[in-house]
Amino acid sequence: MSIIELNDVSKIYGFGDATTVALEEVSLTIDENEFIAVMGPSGSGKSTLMNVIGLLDRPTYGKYMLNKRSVDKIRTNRRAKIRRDMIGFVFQSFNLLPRLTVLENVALPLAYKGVGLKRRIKLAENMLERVGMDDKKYFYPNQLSSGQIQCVAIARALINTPKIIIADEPTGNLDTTSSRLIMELFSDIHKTGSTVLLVTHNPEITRYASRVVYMRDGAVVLDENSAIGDIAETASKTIYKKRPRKTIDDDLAGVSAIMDSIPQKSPNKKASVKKKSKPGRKRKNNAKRKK
Amino acid sequence: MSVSYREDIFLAIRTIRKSKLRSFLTVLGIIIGIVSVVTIVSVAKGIEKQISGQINSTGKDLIVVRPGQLSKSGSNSLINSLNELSSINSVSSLSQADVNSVANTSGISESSGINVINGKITTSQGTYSKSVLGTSDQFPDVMNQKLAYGEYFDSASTNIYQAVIGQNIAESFFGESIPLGQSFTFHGQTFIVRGIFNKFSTAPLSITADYNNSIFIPYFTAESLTNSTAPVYEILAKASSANNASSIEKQINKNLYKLHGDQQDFTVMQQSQSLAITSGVLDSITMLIAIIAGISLVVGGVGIMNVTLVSITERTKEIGIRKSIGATNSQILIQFLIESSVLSLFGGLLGVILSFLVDYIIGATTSLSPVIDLPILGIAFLLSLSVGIIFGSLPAFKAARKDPILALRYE
Ligand SMILES: Nc1ncnc2c1ncn2[C@@H]1O[C@H](COP(=O)(O)OP(=O)(O)OP(=O)(O)O)[C@@H](O)[C@H]1O
Ligand SMILES: [Mg+2]
Repeated sequence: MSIIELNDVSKIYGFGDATTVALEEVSLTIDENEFIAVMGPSGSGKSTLMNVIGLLDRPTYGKYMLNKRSVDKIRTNRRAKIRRDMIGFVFQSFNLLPRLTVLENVALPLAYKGVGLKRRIKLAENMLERVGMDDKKYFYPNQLSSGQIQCVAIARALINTPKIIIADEPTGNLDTTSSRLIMELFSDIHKTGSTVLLVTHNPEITRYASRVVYMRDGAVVLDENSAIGDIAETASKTIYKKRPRKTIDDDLAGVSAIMDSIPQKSPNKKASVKKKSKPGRKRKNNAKRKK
Repeated sequence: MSVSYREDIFLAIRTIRKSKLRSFLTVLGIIIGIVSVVTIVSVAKGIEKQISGQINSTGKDLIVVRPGQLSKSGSNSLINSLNELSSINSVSSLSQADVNSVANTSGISESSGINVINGKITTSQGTYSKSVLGTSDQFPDVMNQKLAYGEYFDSASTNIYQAVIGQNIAESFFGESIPLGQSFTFHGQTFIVRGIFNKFSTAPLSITADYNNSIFIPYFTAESLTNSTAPVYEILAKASSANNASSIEKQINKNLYKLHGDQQDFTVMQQSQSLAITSGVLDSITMLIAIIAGISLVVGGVGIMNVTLVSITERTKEIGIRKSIGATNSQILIQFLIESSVLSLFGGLLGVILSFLVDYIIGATTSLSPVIDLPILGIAFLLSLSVGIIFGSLPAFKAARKDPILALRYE
């Protein structure tokens, strides 16, 4: 059953000559309990897509159905409440409130919902236990390591048992060990039935995903299924093998590898739509095959 | 919804405690504003309390006759006459005949004319310029006042050179607290101190003379010392019963009016009325000054607004985070309104504490005795709360309307 349905969604920033098309007629259907990795070069519109899906941003054009209901005309207040109850956000920069303790940070969405203090603390403690951070509940964010902060952010995203978890490069600032820990958490969340959308630049991470969406210049250019446990097909081509990435040049080489392996966006709009629908079919076939 | 308010309050308090100096500087304007308003109102309240104390101690049935017409609307003439004996001299139009007329009015149990002589008093301690009051022997009864030591003179006739003094005179003029039997010279005569009054309850700004700072001699002695040129400052009379005080007051007025050739160049009123006028004038003056002082609250409010605006820019990211986890605009609005209100109330609290200190100093160094009571604390609370809400709302609206994406991206 589809939980997210985008239909020709565009997002345009700015006015007149200075406009940027951050999303261009993106159509995307996401079923419940999918684990989607979103890949693509910098500026390709991944974050914009996540923000639109997470109701933080409104598309300029297009239709968005969340949970089978159109959310285009919903007022700001209602959107905030849907966000609170249905969607959990995890960002790259660790978005904890510095003046609140770990426990208070995790419990905050419950406070906005109106849950009583005792229950709030209990739920937050349970959630911290789940991410293995219960011994740090009275710490302030500046007393934690980056990985620990991200664990807390995840706990906060989960506290309202949202249907959808949106993570925008959650491991972007973490080392390999912490990344793995965080990804295991997302994997757990996925197993409990949540839908996970995760933006990443790291092909390794696609191992956790059931489907990988590739973006370029604001459009979805490729959409492929990927067996959990394996690196996605296209993403694997982007790995700059053998040589460990140590210098900035290696990183740049990695980036150009990504650019090379992700298909170009067709200059013709109609063609691009076709192209987008093609991987979609491919995906469906894959799904059938899997079953 | 309501559950997050308490968090907001705790957080606001925590913020203040973390940055004490900054918070203190922010609310300095509020502190000054609250101290000014509270001090002014409490001083006025103290005076009013003293005035009603004075009415209670002399009794409501005390009738006062004064020279000149006291206009009830002209506050200027009142302020000028406040507590000033000397100014009375120039408008004297009461005479011995008036004193007799009052004394003979039926329903009057005791009465006393009071005349004033200026001159130099020489005691063993030194020489002082002083106005001396001549009264009848009924003066203590009229005033409902007892003597602490000694006795009042039992006759007001010419050749009695005795004096009774108010409490405050004892130390300053005679160098001892009970100068009974001491003497002083005045207008060439030697007077013996034969009694000391208990403390009169007085009110600052009252148009009644401060009897605690007065020297009393027999009425006719005063007359003879000055060849009957001493002006009659006032005539005090006591109704035999408080119930008919009003009708007696009218009767006295009628008699004197006739005596003055159908001229109303004098004022008859009950003591309570006279004090009510003072207190009425005081009220409006207090109001005016308090409003002027309140202007500094506006300055304080602008200070809070300024700092809150800066803090909202600093905390743009926080606002973005809160919105991303589901805070509605109104929840953000309330959060910042609560913060500015808590800050302002914190200033108000410091202001009130400081006001107690200021009032204590005023009480210790002047004759005023300021009173900070619950209504004044309520005013201080409401004032600081409304300053916080009024001047916090612009920043709070700004915070609430921030775009979540832009806010999240802010570094
Ligand atoms: N508020 C904005 N105003 C103008 N342009 C914007 C705004 N936000 C994003 N853009 C533009 O939209 C495009 C897509 O940005 P987006 O942040 O979605 O990219 P991204 O794929 O997340 O990149 P990255 O991998 O670097 O995070 C970029 O060209 C960006 O400059
Ligand atoms: Mg991004």
